[in-house]
Amino acid sequence: MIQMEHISKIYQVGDAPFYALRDVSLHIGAGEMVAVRGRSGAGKSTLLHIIGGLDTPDEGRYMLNGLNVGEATDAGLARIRNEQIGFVLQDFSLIDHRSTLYNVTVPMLFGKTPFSQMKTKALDALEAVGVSDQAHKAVSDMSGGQRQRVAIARALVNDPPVILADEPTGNLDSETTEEIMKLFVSLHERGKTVVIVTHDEHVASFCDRSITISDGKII
Amino acid sequence: MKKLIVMLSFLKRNLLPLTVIAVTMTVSLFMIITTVGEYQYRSYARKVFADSGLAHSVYFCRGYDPLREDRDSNQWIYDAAAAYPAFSQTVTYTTDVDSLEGEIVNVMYQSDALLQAFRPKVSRGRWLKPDAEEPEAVLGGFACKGRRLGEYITLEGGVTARVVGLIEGNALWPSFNRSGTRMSADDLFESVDSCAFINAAQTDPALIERNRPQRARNAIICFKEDADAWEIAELRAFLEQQGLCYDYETLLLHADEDIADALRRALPLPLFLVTVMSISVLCVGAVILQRSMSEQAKYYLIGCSKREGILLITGALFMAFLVPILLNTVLAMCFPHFLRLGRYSEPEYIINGVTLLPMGGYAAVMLILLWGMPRLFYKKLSPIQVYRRNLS
Ligand SMILES: Nc1ncnc2c1ncn2[C@@H]1O[C@H](COP(=O)(O)OP(=O)(O)OP(=O)(O)O)[C@@H](O)[C@H]1O
Ligand SMILES: [Mg+2]
Repeated sequence: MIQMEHISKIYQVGDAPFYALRDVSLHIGAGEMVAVRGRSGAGKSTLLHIIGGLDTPDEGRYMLNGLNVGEATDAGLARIRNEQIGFVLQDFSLIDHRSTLYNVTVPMLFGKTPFSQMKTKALDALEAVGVSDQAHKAVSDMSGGQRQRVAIARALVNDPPVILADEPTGNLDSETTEEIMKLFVSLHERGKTVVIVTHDEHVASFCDRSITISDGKII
Repeated sequence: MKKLIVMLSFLKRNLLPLTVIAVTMTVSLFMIITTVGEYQYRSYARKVFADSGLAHSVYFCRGYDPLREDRDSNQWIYDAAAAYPAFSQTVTYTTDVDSLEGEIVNVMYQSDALLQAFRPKVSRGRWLKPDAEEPEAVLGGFACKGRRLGEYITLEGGVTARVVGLIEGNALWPSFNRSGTRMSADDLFESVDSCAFINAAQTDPALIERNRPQRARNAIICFKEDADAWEIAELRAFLEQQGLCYDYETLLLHADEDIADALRRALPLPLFLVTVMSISVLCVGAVILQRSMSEQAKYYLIGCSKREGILLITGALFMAFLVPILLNTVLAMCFPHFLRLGRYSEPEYIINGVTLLPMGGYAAVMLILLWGMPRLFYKKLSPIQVYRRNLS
């Protein structure tokens, strides 16, 4: 599903090049659930952004589901993000002033879903994460756990094969963390490829395997 | 259609700054319309005169002496001038105040030479032509009201003519009554708010003369095409013994000077205001952009490309532009009289379709600048960098 060969991400810091990722080769099969771990600043988020087509690698070759992501255009990347990937981030990255329903509908506004099916699909996605009763509430009026559920519903609504999560439980208490992780496990059981960046030992224990990054390299 | 929903969300989010932009642009565009309208007004007489083909002529005028003057007191000069070999014809007219179904109307009986020389813009129908078969009329200003092309009008004085053209709004009226030491093309015209131009050649002279109408005090005297310089100088010398002569080039030159002078006085304020308002619009645009970038980054996350993101912002700004553009277009096309003060006041503007072009050009330039801002922004920072910055 995810096939990376000799990927590097280089930032120019002053005069010197800084390798946020250095010669990373990685293979994640379809349906796997993988934890990415490492110290702060190791390059975990950078890796996740490249996997998700948010950022482009400076070196190496990256294939996602048979698509050459490294060579995709602006519009091509947008399409990959829309159809292949669902993102769940630590800060939820929801549009706070709008309703839950709107937030879950947005990926379909950039995709191919016909108008008539949008509402049903959005409500189904909210149902799947257990917040369908909050559909018309503004996101800013919801709790952290509820927001993360909405974010997961948004990631699911276009039914992408890959779910990427960057510290999805970083802002949540342990009980809510447990619930959210169970959601991820259920997605995994439904056949999605799930990649979770985390500091948390417990969170990593839900996954099939762990990848550890240090100073931009996989160890 | 789908993108429209996202755009509307963006509009709603930025309603206040977008309203500021819409209001500012309304005023800006209005200033541009009125300034261009004023320029058109100031330069219209010059344009009509420049198109007259009267290059081979002089405007001859005399000082006015109320004690000696009667309406034909210059006739002997024209008769004497006709004896010179350079003389070709006198361009002149007769005016009368008559009434048309109870409404006062200024009537001008134009010689063929005059109606061929000055051709004002006709809003509907056509201008008078020399070889007409019957008396024809072009109505201007309030006299147009309720008139149809092709109908016959009868003035109280008895003249009947067929309406062939209508000049809506005030009409440019040749006026050869002024004399002075510095004449310009503009001095040969007046603006009249209710008038009828009628071809003199086809009209019964007895009917024209019935009310003892006014003659133009002065006249344009044309030279023969093949007259040589010496012959022209001879005729000019005779005329200059009796009064003053202004040739075509001098009249245009003075008109140009007057227009430049009027613009020098009229331009600074609108220019200043439009500049200040343009800068405000760009600044508010930049604020909107900054406010929206983190939201844009979220859209980017779920499948919006950079290009689409830029188009969404520009699209919303375009919508904010639509209101002022429509408002000003409606104003210019439907209510050109809006700027006039009352029934008898002279308009100082000519507002028409042409006025809208500079307005559209300005709006387009502003939109391109506003479209360039997010592009520049994304050159410096990618959406994911914006996202990282907002996170920390
Ligand atoms: N635009 C940038 N310019 C320069 N350096 C950058 C830039 N973006 C990221 N980095 C650097 O790249 C490295 C990897 O960053 P990244 O966000 O991937 O770390 P991380 O492993 O996710 O850390 P954390 O656990 O704290 O989120 C860091 O050292 C960071 O300073
Ligand atoms: Mg990180």
